[in-house]
Amino acid sequence: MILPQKFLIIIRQAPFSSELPAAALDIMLTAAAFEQKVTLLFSGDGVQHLIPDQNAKGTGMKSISQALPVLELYDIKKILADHEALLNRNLHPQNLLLNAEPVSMAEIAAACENADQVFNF
Amino acid sequence: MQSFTIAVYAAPGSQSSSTALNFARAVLKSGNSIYRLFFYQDGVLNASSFNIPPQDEEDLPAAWQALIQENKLDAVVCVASALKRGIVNVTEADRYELPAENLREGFEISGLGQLIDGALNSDRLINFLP
Repeated sequence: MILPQKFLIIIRQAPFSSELPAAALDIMLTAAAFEQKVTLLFSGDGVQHLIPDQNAKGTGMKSISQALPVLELYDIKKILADHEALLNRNLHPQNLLLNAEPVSMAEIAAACENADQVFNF
Repeated sequence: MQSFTIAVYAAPGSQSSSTALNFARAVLKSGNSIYRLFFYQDGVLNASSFNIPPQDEEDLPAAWQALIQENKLDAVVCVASALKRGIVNVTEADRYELPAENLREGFEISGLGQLIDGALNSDRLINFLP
């Protein structure tokens, strides 16, 4: 049995922009099912996934935001959000879909440094 | 010597897919090894045997296949991505009663767990996004 590794999954792309955020979510859930230690970071335009009440109707795509609240069931406790990106979009940490911890660029750099695997979407 | 898992998310025709192929060749040429190639999302189109590229363009799926067969590489195509884009082997063609199968020899269909397994069991995982 291989020891669990630390996975950092970064979502940088906006909702409905491409299928990459969905890939990030699937990889994250699979890694969690493999009992790896998963941290999720929303960065840049990716923080917009954290806006509540998104309506995917008419986009022809799934909203991954609807799936985000299940993360806690998968033991993905560490959810980070790029603080600067939140501020730039006038998003306040207390109004987000998830309880995400606002982090600075230095903390993001440290999270990358600390991870065994970084998936950057 | 290091072992690599290479994940390809981009379709043939995308520079990223071509770069991934060149990277894979360079890994082997430099005496390192490839633990697994994993084709995900549009990357699964690299496993189609139904592609007919224009005469003056590289046949990327054929080039991938040659690399895989010459070096006996483990090449996995994500099942959900493949079915969504119409890439099927005999088993899936039968299951969904499709008129043909088009997965190139050398590739196999499996699940996303193989990507995580690749991340855990190789020294480096390199993702090639679109």
